[in-house]
Amino acid sequence: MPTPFAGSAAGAAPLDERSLALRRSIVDALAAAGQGHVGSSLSAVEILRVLYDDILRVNPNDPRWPDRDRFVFSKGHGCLALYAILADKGFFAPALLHSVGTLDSPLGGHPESHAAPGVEFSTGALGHGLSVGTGMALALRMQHRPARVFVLLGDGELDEGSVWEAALSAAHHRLDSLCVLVDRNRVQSYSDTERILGLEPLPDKWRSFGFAVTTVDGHDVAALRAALRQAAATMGRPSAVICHTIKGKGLPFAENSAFWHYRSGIDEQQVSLMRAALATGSRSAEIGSQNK
Amino acid sequence: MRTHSVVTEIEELTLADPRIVFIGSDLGAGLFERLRKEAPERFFMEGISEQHLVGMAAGMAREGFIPFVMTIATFLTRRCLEQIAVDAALHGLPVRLLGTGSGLAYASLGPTHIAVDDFALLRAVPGMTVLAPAETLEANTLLRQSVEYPGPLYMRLPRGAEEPMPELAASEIGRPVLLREPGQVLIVSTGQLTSVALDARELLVARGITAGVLHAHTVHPLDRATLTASTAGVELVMTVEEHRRAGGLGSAVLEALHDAPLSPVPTVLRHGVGDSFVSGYGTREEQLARHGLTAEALCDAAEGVMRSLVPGERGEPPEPAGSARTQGTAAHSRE
Repeated sequence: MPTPFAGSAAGAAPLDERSLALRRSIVDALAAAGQGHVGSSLSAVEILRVLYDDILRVNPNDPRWPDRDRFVFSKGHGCLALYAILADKGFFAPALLHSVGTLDSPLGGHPESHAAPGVEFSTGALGHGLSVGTGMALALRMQHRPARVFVLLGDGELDEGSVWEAALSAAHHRLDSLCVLVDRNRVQSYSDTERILGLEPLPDKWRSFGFAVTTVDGHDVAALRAALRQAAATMGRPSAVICHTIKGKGLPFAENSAFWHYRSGIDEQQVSLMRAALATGSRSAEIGSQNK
Repeated sequence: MRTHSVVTEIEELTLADPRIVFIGSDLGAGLFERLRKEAPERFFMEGISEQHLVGMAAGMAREGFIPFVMTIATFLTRRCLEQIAVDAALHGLPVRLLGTGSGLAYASLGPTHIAVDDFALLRAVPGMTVLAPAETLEANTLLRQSVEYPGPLYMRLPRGAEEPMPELAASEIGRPVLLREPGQVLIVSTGQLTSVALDARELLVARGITAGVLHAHTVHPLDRATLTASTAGVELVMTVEEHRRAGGLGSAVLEALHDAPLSPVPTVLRHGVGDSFVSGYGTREEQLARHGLTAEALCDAAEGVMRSLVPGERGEPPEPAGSARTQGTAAHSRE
């Protein structure tokens, strides 16, 4: 059992080239759309990277393969990070990222499964994904399929009561094929989560609902890999991995700032600043975040 | 012709088809005991969590199951409207929402339990099918059809105490049933009030006014072609529903008639519950009477309008409680 991660040191390590490249893809999308959930996307990059690199059994050439692992991206507003990894994995051409938010693009400001290959379920209204994932996990169990179900929740999303209805149900049904990931970046649209509607002690809440809980540095790729593998191996009850992250991770001027939760009117100058911050050998890459 | 209850129908459908799962919230003790015993792996009594119920059903439907979700109509439509719209309808999933205690059935329990806005709420959800069978025979027929019907679907379940209507045993989703040929008047009714509409029609005929009855068990999408064909030559269309006048069958009929390339549009008199929460308690029948939803009140209202439509006979028609009249192409309404 790894030592519980307190969260205060999250994101201390520098971002490697792969993490920087995925973030640059997010900037491509932001440049195209001129707006987007900057902070909410950047906090989730390593969670998604580890899921798709090391955990999920999916096939970009057959996105609806029946035995695939299901990944419900419940915090749909952070979809630029999802688009970046799906493009990276070959679910669609990376050039599509330059169309995000345009009139007939398959990639919108929230992800839609009928339009974007690799998106498991359309999300955007918060508090839906865990119920859907619970239903999927129950269905897959009835069908004796080996597939597992992962659901990524935002921490602000945990304000929604329906999340906790679903948590009761998942634990009641002992859905050990279900793994909840919480992007614990501690900032929601208006301000810090603890100032708006306190969530702590968050691991205790999930534990008391019947989940096997681990906490991890949500930007530490190796630690995430270990935590997710451990969670996926949980028997007899669902698991929850609370991933301590930094809102806006990688852009020093956006980190931990509610003002970068959602940003509109993103102009060329801001895009240039983002690209500079995320360039190979940049400050983000060399020293990581010190903006805490 | 007698039939078994909707509960038995649902049990038999579920036991016969491994794609069907049953999801209840917190139903009455002892209900669905046979299903719970014979197919426990597909029987879920999930607790009082309607938002979760619908989301979970959508997740199951996404994986190939056909969930029958059953709870009290008002909780199944108001509480979890976003889950119905986003999780079920946006994904085009075959989630079946079965509402008990619809309309004024729970009159004695007050406005928290009365479901007279379910049609309006769900008509606004793209891709939804909204059903209100008149009685159990028809409900069971529509339940059987619902198994293969595409997309999300909501059905008001009848109470089971209604007189059987064998002519509705062959109803088809989407196709209204012309129970009586149109005359000067056409009553368009839905749900358990169709029997009241038939009684009102008999009273009208006895008073010398020819009248027909079109039973629209499928409130949405309304079969506009059948409606407009049935209203040709009709002077007065009267809609009858156990629902608010706003947003339900009456509104759908008005929309259809005014959108159709017909001239002139017949006068439309909508009967239902007005623009306020239902006050008081009592029985369903007492509340129906309070809202002018009895055969006598409907007949009086129609007769009054018909008199006013006869050339040379002047005077405002009486405006009974629970009615709203819209005439011609310049639609005015109290709502």
